[in-house]
Amino acid sequence: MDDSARTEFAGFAAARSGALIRVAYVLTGDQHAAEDLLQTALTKAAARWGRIHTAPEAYVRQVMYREQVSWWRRRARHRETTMAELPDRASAVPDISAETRLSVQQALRALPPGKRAVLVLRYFEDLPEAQVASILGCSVGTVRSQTHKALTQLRSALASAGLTSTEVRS
Amino acid sequence: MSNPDQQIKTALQDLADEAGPPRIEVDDAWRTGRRRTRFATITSAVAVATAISAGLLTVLPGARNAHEHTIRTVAYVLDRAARTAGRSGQPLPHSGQYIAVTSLARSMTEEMSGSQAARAWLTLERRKIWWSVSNRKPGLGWYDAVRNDRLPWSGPGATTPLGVSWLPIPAQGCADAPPVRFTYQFLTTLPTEPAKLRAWIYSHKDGGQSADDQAWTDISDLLGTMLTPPRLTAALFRVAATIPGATVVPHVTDAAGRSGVAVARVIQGATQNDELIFNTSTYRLLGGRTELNVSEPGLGPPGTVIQAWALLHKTVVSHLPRHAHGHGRTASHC
Repeated sequence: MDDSARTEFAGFAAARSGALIRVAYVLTGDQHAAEDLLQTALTKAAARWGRIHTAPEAYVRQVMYREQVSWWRRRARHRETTMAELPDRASAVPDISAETRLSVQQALRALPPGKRAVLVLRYFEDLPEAQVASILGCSVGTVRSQTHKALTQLRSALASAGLTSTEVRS
Repeated sequence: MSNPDQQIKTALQDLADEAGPPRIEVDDAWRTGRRRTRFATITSAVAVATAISAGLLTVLPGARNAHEHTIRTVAYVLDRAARTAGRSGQPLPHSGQYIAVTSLARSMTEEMSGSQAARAWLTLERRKIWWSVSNRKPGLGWYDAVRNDRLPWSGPGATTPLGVSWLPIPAQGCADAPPVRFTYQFLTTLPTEPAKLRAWIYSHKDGGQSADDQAWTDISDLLGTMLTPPRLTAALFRVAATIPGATVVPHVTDAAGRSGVAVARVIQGATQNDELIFNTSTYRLLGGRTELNVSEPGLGPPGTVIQAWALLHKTVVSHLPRHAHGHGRTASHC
Protein backbone atom coordinates (compact mmCIF):
# COMPACT_ATOMS: atom_id res chain seq x y z
CA MET A 1 0.00 0.00 0.00
CA ASP A 2 2.71 2.45 1.05
CA ASP A 3 4.87 1.50 -1.96
CA SER A 4 2.14 2.24 -4.47
CA ALA A 5 1.34 5.51 -2.71
CA ARG A 6 4.99 6.44 -2.79
CA THR A 7 5.18 5.71 -6.53
CA GLU A 8 2.04 7.75 -7.08
CA PHE A 9 3.50 10.64 -5.07
CA ALA A 10 6.81 10.51 -6.96
CA GLY A 11 4.91 10.47 -10.26
CA PHE A 12 2.90 13.51 -9.24
CA ALA A 13 6.00 15.39 -8.09
CA ALA A 14 7.86 14.55 -11.32
CA ALA A 15 4.97 15.60 -13.54
CA ARG A 16 3.93 18.80 -11.80
CA SER A 17 7.06 20.27 -10.20
CA GLY A 18 7.94 22.14 -13.40
CA ALA A 19 4.67 24.07 -13.18
CA LEU A 20 4.66 24.37 -9.38
CA ILE A 21 8.16 25.86 -9.25
CA ARG A 22 6.88 28.71 -11.46
CA VAL A 23 4.22 29.55 -8.89
CA ALA A 24 6.77 29.24 -6.07
CA TYR A 25 9.14 31.51 -7.97
CA VAL A 26 6.62 34.31 -8.57
CA LEU A 27 5.71 34.10 -4.89
CA THR A 28 9.27 34.29 -3.59
CA GLY A 29 11.24 35.90 -6.45
CA ASP A 30 14.20 33.65 -5.64
CA GLN A 31 15.14 30.21 -6.98
CA HIS A 32 16.41 28.76 -3.71
CA ALA A 33 13.49 30.09 -1.67
CA ALA A 34 11.14 28.73 -4.35
CA GLU A 35 12.71 25.29 -4.11
CA ASP A 36 12.46 25.40 -0.29
CA LEU A 37 8.81 26.42 -0.51
CA LEU A 38 7.98 23.63 -2.96
CA GLN A 39 9.92 21.08 -0.89
CA THR A 40 7.97 22.09 2.23
CA ALA A 41 4.66 21.82 0.40
CA LEU A 42 5.55 18.39 -1.03
CA THR A 43 6.56 17.15 2.43
CA LYS A 44 3.17 18.24 3.79
CA ALA A 45 1.45 16.64 0.81
CA ALA A 46 3.25 13.36 1.51
CA ALA A 47 2.03 13.43 5.10
CA ARG A 48 -1.60 13.70 3.96
CA TRP A 49 -1.31 11.71 0.75
CA GLY A 50 -4.07 9.26 1.68
CA ARG A 51 -6.59 12.10 1.91
CA ILE A 52 -5.39 14.36 -0.90
CA HIS A 53 -4.09 11.95 -3.55
CA THR A 54 -7.14 12.48 -5.78
CA ALA A 55 -6.39 16.23 -6.06
CA PRO A 56 -2.86 16.78 -4.76
CA GLU A 57 -2.01 19.87 -6.82
CA ALA A 58 -4.69 22.07 -5.28
CA TYR A 59 -3.41 21.08 -1.85
CA VAL A 60 0.25 21.76 -2.72
CA ARG A 61 -0.65 25.17 -4.14
CA GLN A 62 -2.67 26.05 -1.05
CA VAL A 63 0.22 25.05 1.22
CA MET A 64 2.64 27.18 -0.80
CA TYR A 65 0.43 30.25 -0.63
CA ARG A 66 -0.25 29.89 3.08
CA GLU A 67 3.38 29.13 3.89
CA GLN A 68 4.47 32.17 1.95
CA VAL A 69 2.07 34.42 3.80
CA SER A 70 3.11 32.96 7.13
CA TRP A 71 6.79 33.47 6.27
CA TRP A 72 5.90 37.02 5.56
CA ARG A 73 4.19 37.34 8.94
CA ARG A 74 7.17 35.80 10.74
CA ARG A 75 9.66 37.93 8.88
CA ALA A 76 7.69 41.17 9.08
CA ARG A 77 9.90 42.64 11.79
CA HIS A 78 13.13 41.56 10.16
CA ARG A 79 12.60 42.49 6.55
CA GLU A 80 15.71 43.45 4.67
CA THR A 81 16.00 46.93 3.32
CA THR A 82 15.29 46.91 -0.37
CA MET A 83 17.93 48.13 -2.78
CA ALA A 84 18.00 51.92 -3.02
CA GLU A 85 17.24 53.16 -6.50
CA LEU A 86 18.69 56.37 -7.76
CA PRO A 87 16.25 59.06 -8.79
CA ASP A 88 15.91 59.23 -12.52
CA ARG A 89 13.12 59.46 -15.00
CA ALA A 90 12.44 57.21 -17.92
CA SER A 91 12.52 58.99 -21.22
CA ALA A 92 9.54 59.31 -23.54
CA VAL A 93 10.85 56.92 -26.17
CA PRO A 94 8.80 55.44 -29.02
CA ASP A 95 8.84 51.88 -27.66
CA ILE A 96 8.77 51.52 -23.89
CA SER A 97 7.21 48.10 -23.66
CA ALA A 98 10.38 46.36 -22.43
CA GLU A 99 11.13 49.11 -19.96
CA THR A 100 7.56 49.01 -18.71
CA ARG A 101 7.66 45.25 -18.29
CA LEU A 102 10.88 45.47 -16.31
CA SER A 103 9.52 48.27 -14.14
CA VAL A 104 6.33 46.34 -13.39
CA GLN A 105 8.44 43.28 -12.54
CA GLN A 106 10.70 45.32 -10.29
CA ALA A 107 7.65 46.82 -8.54
CA LEU A 108 6.19 43.33 -8.09
CA ARG A 109 9.41 42.10 -6.51
CA ALA A 110 9.27 44.99 -4.05
CA LEU A 111 5.78 44.05 -2.81
CA PRO A 112 5.56 42.31 0.58
CA PRO A 113 4.95 38.54 0.11
CA GLY A 114 1.39 38.73 1.44
CA LYS A 115 0.29 41.30 -1.10
CA ARG A 116 2.20 39.56 -3.82
CA ALA A 117 0.44 36.28 -3.00
CA VAL A 118 -2.93 37.97 -3.53
CA LEU A 119 -1.83 39.40 -6.88
CA VAL A 120 -0.37 36.06 -7.99
CA LEU A 121 -3.64 34.29 -7.20
CA ARG A 122 -5.75 36.96 -8.89
CA TYR A 123 -3.61 37.71 -11.95
CA PHE A 124 -1.27 34.73 -12.46
CA GLU A 125 -3.69 31.97 -11.48
CA ASP A 126 -6.74 33.96 -12.66
CA LEU A 127 -8.82 32.94 -9.66
CA PRO A 128 -11.98 34.70 -8.46
CA GLU A 129 -11.90 36.56 -5.15
CA ALA A 130 -13.87 33.88 -3.31
CA GLN A 131 -11.39 31.18 -4.26
CA VAL A 132 -8.44 33.41 -3.34
CA ALA A 133 -10.02 33.95 0.07
CA SER A 134 -10.54 30.22 0.50
CA ILE A 135 -6.92 29.40 -0.40
CA LEU A 136 -5.45 32.06 1.87
CA GLY A 137 -7.90 31.34 4.68
CA CYS A 138 -9.21 34.88 4.92
CA SER A 139 -12.37 36.81 4.03
CA VAL A 140 -13.28 38.13 0.58
CA GLY A 141 -13.12 41.63 2.09
CA THR A 142 -9.50 41.06 3.07
CA VAL A 143 -8.68 39.85 -0.44
CA ARG A 144 -10.27 43.00 -1.89
CA SER A 145 -8.44 45.33 0.46
CA GLN A 146 -5.10 43.54 -0.05
CA THR A 147 -5.54 43.64 -3.82
CA HIS A 148 -6.38 47.35 -3.68
CA LYS A 149 -3.36 48.11 -1.47
CA ALA A 150 -1.05 46.02 -3.67
CA LEU A 151 -2.21 47.77 -6.84
CA THR A 152 -1.85 51.18 -5.19
CA GLN A 153 1.69 50.31 -4.12
CA LEU A 154 2.45 49.03 -7.61
CA ARG A 155 1.15 52.22 -9.26
CA SER A 156 3.05 54.38 -6.82
CA ALA A 157 6.28 52.45 -7.55
CA LEU A 158 5.71 52.83 -11.29
CA ALA A 159 4.99 56.53 -10.95
CA SER A 160 8.19 57.10 -8.99
CA ALA A 161 10.05 55.18 -11.71
CA GLY A 162 8.77 57.77 -14.16
CA LEU A 163 6.00 55.67 -15.68
CA THR A 164 2.68 57.39 -15.19
CA SER A 165 -0.55 55.54 -15.68
CA THR A 166 -0.99 56.93 -19.18
CA GLU A 167 2.55 56.08 -20.25
CA VAL A 168 2.21 52.46 -19.20
CA ARG A 169 0.94 50.43 -22.09
CA SER A 170 0.56 46.70 -22.49
CA MET B 1 -3.29 52.48 -16.96
CA SER B 2 -4.87 51.35 -20.19
CA ASN B 3 -4.88 47.69 -19.26
CA PRO B 4 -3.36 47.13 -15.84
CA ASP B 5 -4.61 43.56 -15.54
CA GLN B 6 -2.78 42.53 -18.68
CA GLN B 7 0.41 44.31 -17.60
CA ILE B 8 0.46 42.55 -14.25
CA LYS B 9 -0.31 39.21 -15.89
CA THR B 10 2.51 39.68 -18.40
CA ALA B 11 4.95 40.76 -15.70
CA LEU B 12 4.07 37.74 -13.56
CA GLN B 13 4.44 35.40 -16.53
CA ASP B 14 7.85 36.94 -17.31
CA LEU B 15 8.85 36.47 -13.67
CA ALA B 16 7.71 32.84 -13.74
CA ASP B 17 9.81 32.29 -16.86
CA GLU B 18 12.90 33.09 -14.80
CA ALA B 19 12.32 30.03 -12.60
CA GLY B 20 14.99 27.38 -13.08
CA PRO B 21 14.36 23.63 -13.05
CA PRO B 22 13.31 22.50 -9.55
CA ARG B 23 15.86 20.57 -7.54
CA ILE B 24 13.66 18.79 -5.06
CA GLU B 25 14.43 15.83 -2.80
CA VAL B 26 11.37 13.75 -3.57
CA ASP B 27 12.38 10.74 -1.47
CA ASP B 28 13.24 13.00 1.43
CA ALA B 29 9.88 14.78 1.16
CA TRP B 30 8.10 11.43 1.18
CA ARG B 31 10.07 9.96 4.08
CA THR B 32 9.91 13.09 6.21
CA GLY B 33 6.20 13.57 5.51
CA ARG B 34 5.29 9.94 6.22
CA ARG B 35 7.43 9.85 9.33
CA ARG B 36 5.55 12.82 10.72
CA THR B 37 2.30 10.94 10.22
CA ARG B 38 3.45 7.73 11.84
CA PHE B 39 5.60 8.98 14.65
CA ALA B 40 4.22 12.34 15.54
CA THR B 41 5.82 12.23 18.95
CA ILE B 42 9.36 11.84 17.65
CA THR B 43 11.14 15.15 17.75
CA SER B 44 11.69 16.79 14.41
CA ALA B 45 15.46 16.79 14.94
CA VAL B 46 15.56 13.00 15.15
CA ALA B 47 13.28 12.65 12.14
CA VAL B 48 15.40 14.99 10.05
CA ALA B 49 18.61 13.22 11.05
CA THR B 50 17.11 9.88 10.06
CA ALA B 51 15.91 11.23 6.74
CA ILE B 52 19.27 12.80 5.97
CA SER B 53 21.17 9.61 6.84
CA ALA B 54 19.10 7.69 4.30
CA GLY B 55 18.65 10.62 1.90
CA LEU B 56 18.80 10.33 -1.85
CA LEU B 57 18.98 13.47 -3.97
CA THR B 58 16.69 13.23 -6.93
CA VAL B 59 16.50 15.75 -9.68
CA LEU B 60 12.99 15.71 -10.97
CA PRO B 61 12.37 14.88 -14.62
CA GLY B 62 9.58 17.49 -14.68
CA ALA B 63 8.49 19.46 -17.70
CA ARG B 64 11.33 21.98 -17.45
CA ASN B 65 13.90 19.35 -16.70
CA ALA B 66 12.82 17.36 -19.71
CA HIS B 67 13.30 20.54 -21.70
CA GLU B 68 16.67 21.02 -20.11
CA HIS B 69 17.82 17.64 -21.41
CA THR B 70 17.64 19.14 -24.89
CA ILE B 71 20.33 21.68 -23.92
CA ARG B 72 23.30 19.89 -25.36
CA THR B 73 25.37 22.25 -27.41
CA VAL B 74 26.83 25.71 -27.36
CA ALA B 75 25.16 26.30 -30.73
CA TYR B 76 21.72 25.51 -29.26
CA VAL B 77 22.07 27.82 -26.24
CA LEU B 78 23.50 30.72 -28.23
CA ASP B 79 20.94 30.29 -31.01
CA ARG B 80 18.13 30.50 -28.43
CA ALA B 81 19.83 33.54 -26.86
CA ALA B 82 20.10 35.19 -30.29
CA ARG B 83 16.44 34.56 -31.07
CA THR B 84 15.39 35.95 -27.67
CA ALA B 85 17.56 39.04 -28.14
CA GLY B 86 16.29 39.63 -31.67
CA ARG B 87 12.69 39.65 -30.45
CA SER B 88 13.23 42.00 -27.50
CA GLY B 89 11.33 45.29 -27.63
CA GLN B 90 13.78 47.56 -25.86
CA PRO B 91 13.87 51.35 -25.62
CA LEU B 92 15.21 53.25 -28.62
CA PRO B 93 17.66 55.84 -27.33
CA HIS B 94 18.40 58.99 -29.25
CA SER B 95 21.36 61.31 -29.27
CA GLY B 96 21.55 63.41 -26.12
CA GLN B 97 20.13 60.70 -23.88
CA TYR B 98 21.86 58.21 -21.61
CA ILE B 99 21.86 54.43 -21.34
CA ALA B 100 21.49 53.56 -17.64
CA VAL B 101 22.76 50.09 -16.78
CA THR B 102 22.15 48.71 -13.28
CA SER B 103 24.17 45.67 -12.26
CA LEU B 104 25.66 43.76 -9.39
CA ALA B 105 29.32 42.79 -9.64
CA ARG B 106 31.95 40.91 -7.71
CA SER B 107 35.35 42.12 -8.85
CA MET B 108 38.77 40.99 -7.67
CA THR B 109 41.54 43.16 -6.29
CA GLU B 110 45.02 41.64 -6.00
CA GLU B 111 47.99 42.98 -4.05
CA MET B 112 51.06 41.42 -5.58
CA SER B 113 54.21 40.27 -3.83
CA GLY B 114 56.68 39.39 -6.56
CA SER B 115 54.84 37.35 -9.17
CA GLN B 116 52.05 36.06 -6.93
CA ALA B 117 49.14 37.62 -5.07
CA ALA B 118 49.84 38.30 -1.40
CA ARG B 119 46.29 39.43 -0.78
CA ALA B 120 43.26 39.04 -2.99
CA TRP B 121 39.61 39.73 -2.35
CA LEU B 122 36.31 40.08 -4.15
CA THR B 123 34.31 43.24 -3.62
CA LEU B 124 30.56 42.97 -4.03
CA GLU B 125 29.38 46.18 -5.61
CA ARG B 126 26.07 47.60 -6.77
CA ARG B 127 26.56 49.71 -9.86
CA LYS B 128 24.60 52.10 -11.98
CA ILE B 129 26.34 53.56 -15.01
CA TRP B 130 24.96 56.30 -17.25
CA TRP B 131 26.56 56.11 -20.69
CA SER B 132 26.06 59.02 -23.03
CA VAL B 133 24.37 57.70 -26.18
CA SER B 134 26.62 59.75 -28.46
CA ASN B 135 29.57 59.98 -26.04
CA ARG B 136 29.73 63.70 -26.75
CA LYS B 137 28.68 64.40 -23.16
CA PRO B 138 30.26 62.92 -20.04
CA GLY B 139 28.57 59.96 -18.38
CA LEU B 140 28.49 59.00 -14.73
CA GLY B 141 29.04 55.93 -12.58
CA TRP B 142 27.53 55.18 -9.15
CA TYR B 143 29.28 52.43 -7.21
CA ASP B 144 28.23 51.08 -3.83
CA ALA B 145 30.75 48.63 -2.35
CA VAL B 146 28.79 46.52 0.11
CA ARG B 147 31.07 43.62 1.07
CA ASN B 148 34.59 42.23 0.75
CA ASP B 149 35.21 38.47 0.59
CA ARG B 150 38.78 37.23 0.85
CA LEU B 151 39.80 34.59 -1.70
CA PRO B 152 40.53 31.13 -0.24
CA TRP B 153 44.34 31.32 -0.39
CA SER B 154 44.74 35.04 0.23
CA GLY B 155 46.76 36.45 3.10
CA PRO B 156 45.00 38.67 5.67
CA GLY B 157 45.01 42.45 5.45
CA ALA B 158 43.65 45.34 3.45
CA THR B 159 40.35 45.35 1.63
CA THR B 160 38.40 47.86 -0.44
CA PRO B 161 36.67 50.60 1.60
CA LEU B 162 32.91 50.11 1.64
CA GLY B 163 30.36 52.76 0.68
CA VAL B 164 29.21 54.85 -2.23
CA SER B 165 31.41 56.57 -4.76
CA TRP B 166 30.63 58.53 -7.94
CA LEU B 167 32.92 58.62 -10.92
CA PRO B 168 32.46 60.76 -14.02
CA ILE B 169 32.93 59.06 -17.39
CA PRO B 170 34.86 61.45 -19.64
CA ALA B 171 33.33 62.40 -22.98
CA GLN B 172 34.87 61.47 -26.31
CA GLY B 173 38.11 63.39 -26.90
CA CYS B 174 38.92 63.74 -23.18
CA ALA B 175 41.67 61.87 -21.36
CA ASP B 176 40.55 58.45 -20.11
CA ALA B 177 37.43 58.44 -22.29
CA PRO B 178 36.02 54.94 -22.75
CA PRO B 179 36.63 53.14 -26.07
CA VAL B 180 34.38 54.27 -28.88
CA ARG B 181 32.75 50.82 -28.97
CA PHE B 182 30.98 51.71 -25.71
CA THR B 183 28.92 54.30 -27.54
CA TYR B 184 25.40 53.27 -28.48
CA GLN B 185 25.44 55.50 -31.52
CA PHE B 186 28.56 53.73 -32.76
CA LEU B 187 27.05 50.32 -32.09
CA THR B 188 24.14 51.13 -34.40
CA THR B 189 26.64 51.41 -37.27
CA LEU B 190 28.04 47.89 -36.83
CA PRO B 191 26.97 45.15 -39.25
CA THR B 192 24.26 42.81 -37.95
CA GLU B 193 25.08 40.09 -40.45
CA PRO B 194 27.09 37.60 -38.33
CA ALA B 195 29.87 36.93 -40.88
CA LYS B 196 30.53 40.66 -41.38
CA LEU B 197 30.34 41.35 -37.63
CA ARG B 198 32.76 38.49 -36.99
CA ALA B 199 35.22 39.97 -39.49
CA TRP B 200 34.96 43.36 -37.76
CA ILE B 201 35.48 41.89 -34.28
CA TYR B 202 38.48 39.83 -35.35
CA SER B 203 40.05 42.81 -37.15
CA HIS B 204 40.47 44.66 -33.83
CA LYS B 205 43.30 43.15 -31.85
CA ASP B 206 44.93 45.02 -28.97
CA GLY B 207 47.60 42.40 -28.34
CA GLY B 208 48.25 40.17 -25.34
CA GLN B 209 45.46 37.70 -26.01
CA SER B 210 44.83 35.22 -28.79
CA ALA B 211 42.38 36.40 -31.44
CA ASP B 212 39.71 33.97 -30.21
CA ASP B 213 40.21 34.98 -26.56
CA GLN B 214 39.98 38.62 -27.46
CA ALA B 215 36.85 38.16 -29.57
CA TRP B 216 35.17 36.29 -26.71
CA THR B 217 36.21 38.92 -24.13
CA ASP B 218 35.09 41.80 -26.37
CA ILE B 219 31.65 40.24 -26.89
CA SER B 220 31.30 39.48 -23.19
CA ASP B 221 32.33 43.02 -22.18
CA LEU B 222 29.95 44.61 -24.66
CA LEU B 223 26.96 42.51 -23.65
CA GLY B 224 27.67 42.99 -19.95
CA THR B 225 28.29 46.71 -20.05
CA MET B 226 26.12 48.35 -22.68
CA LEU B 227 22.67 48.37 -24.15
CA THR B 228 23.16 46.93 -27.62
CA PRO B 229 20.57 47.17 -30.42
CA PRO B 230 18.50 43.93 -30.53
CA ARG B 231 19.71 42.80 -33.96
CA LEU B 232 23.32 43.47 -33.00
CA THR B 233 22.86 41.53 -29.75
CA ALA B 234 21.52 38.58 -31.73
CA ALA B 235 24.47 38.80 -34.13
CA LEU B 236 26.94 38.95 -31.22
CA PHE B 237 25.55 35.67 -29.86
CA ARG B 238 25.80 34.11 -33.32
CA VAL B 239 29.43 35.23 -33.62
CA ALA B 240 30.17 33.89 -30.10
CA ALA B 241 28.85 30.51 -31.30
CA THR B 242 31.58 30.41 -33.95
CA ILE B 243 34.47 30.95 -31.51
CA PRO B 244 36.11 27.57 -30.86
CA GLY B 245 36.60 26.09 -27.41
CA ALA B 246 33.26 26.83 -25.73
CA THR B 247 31.24 24.33 -23.68
CA VAL B 248 27.88 24.27 -21.87
CA VAL B 249 27.71 24.29 -18.06
CA PRO B 250 24.17 23.25 -16.97
CA HIS B 251 23.80 24.84 -13.51
CA VAL B 252 25.52 28.13 -12.76
CA THR B 253 24.65 31.04 -10.46
CA ASP B 254 25.26 34.68 -11.35
CA ALA B 255 26.34 37.45 -8.97
CA ALA B 256 22.70 38.10 -8.00
CA GLY B 257 22.13 34.45 -7.06
CA ARG B 258 20.00 33.67 -10.13
CA SER B 259 20.63 30.23 -11.52
CA GLY B 260 20.96 29.55 -15.22
CA VAL B 261 22.79 27.71 -17.94
CA ALA B 262 26.22 28.96 -18.99
CA VAL B 263 28.32 28.90 -22.10
CA ALA B 264 31.92 28.74 -20.89
CA ARG B 265 35.20 29.19 -22.67
CA VAL B 266 38.75 28.81 -21.42
CA ILE B 267 40.81 32.00 -21.67
CA GLN B 268 44.22 33.25 -20.53
CA GLY B 269 46.11 30.16 -21.71
CA ALA B 270 43.41 27.85 -20.34
CA THR B 271 43.97 29.05 -16.75
CA GLN B 272 40.51 30.63 -16.48
CA ASN B 273 36.99 29.77 -17.53
CA ASP B 274 34.88 32.70 -18.71
CA GLU B 275 31.12 32.11 -18.66
CA LEU B 276 28.05 33.85 -20.04
CA ILE B 277 24.98 32.86 -18.00
CA PHE B 278 21.49 32.61 -19.50
CA ASN B 279 18.01 32.10 -18.08
CA THR B 280 17.23 28.43 -18.57
CA SER B 281 13.74 29.08 -19.94
CA THR B 282 13.95 32.36 -21.83
CA TYR B 283 17.68 32.36 -22.70
CA ARG B 284 17.88 36.03 -21.73
CA LEU B 285 21.43 36.98 -20.73
CA LEU B 286 21.58 37.14 -16.91
CA GLY B 287 25.26 37.78 -16.30
CA GLY B 288 28.64 36.16 -16.36
CA ARG B 289 31.53 35.00 -14.25
CA THR B 290 35.16 33.98 -14.47
CA GLU B 291 36.59 31.12 -12.45
CA LEU B 292 40.02 29.58 -12.08
CA ASN B 293 40.71 26.50 -14.15
CA VAL B 294 43.94 25.71 -12.29
CA SER B 295 45.27 26.33 -8.78
CA GLU B 296 46.72 29.82 -8.41
CA PRO B 297 48.98 30.59 -5.44
CA GLY B 298 47.55 33.45 -3.41
CA LEU B 299 44.12 33.05 -5.00
CA GLY B 300 42.61 29.58 -4.70
CA PRO B 301 42.00 26.11 -6.14
CA PRO B 302 40.30 25.36 -9.49
CA GLY B 303 36.69 26.52 -9.42
CA THR B 304 37.43 29.68 -7.40
CA VAL B 305 35.30 32.53 -8.78
CA ILE B 306 37.45 35.58 -9.44
CA GLN B 307 34.86 37.78 -11.10
CA ALA B 308 31.07 37.76 -11.53
CA TRP B 309 28.41 40.15 -12.75
CA ALA B 310 24.63 40.21 -13.02
CA LEU B 311 22.63 42.53 -15.23
CA LEU B 312 19.64 43.87 -13.34
CA HIS B 313 18.23 46.60 -15.54
CA LYS B 314 19.02 48.49 -18.72
CA THR B 315 17.05 51.56 -19.64
CA VAL B 316 17.21 54.96 -21.34
CA VAL B 317 17.01 58.26 -19.44
CA SER B 318 17.17 61.87 -20.51
CA HIS B 319 19.26 63.30 -17.68
CA LEU B 320 22.07 62.40 -15.35
CA PRO B 321 21.11 62.37 -11.67
CA ARG B 322 22.16 65.23 -9.45
CA HIS B 323 24.48 64.11 -6.69
CA ALA B 324 26.60 65.39 -3.87
CA HIS B 325 29.77 66.02 -5.88
CA GLY B 326 28.30 68.36 -8.44
CA HIS B 327 28.24 66.17 -11.49
CA GLY B 328 25.07 65.60 -13.43
CA ARG B 329 23.50 68.27 -15.55
CA THR B 330 26.23 70.74 -14.72
CA ALA B 331 29.10 68.38 -15.56
CA SER B 332 31.72 69.94 -17.79
CA HIS B 333 32.63 68.45 -21.17
CA CYS B 334 35.69 66.62 -19.75
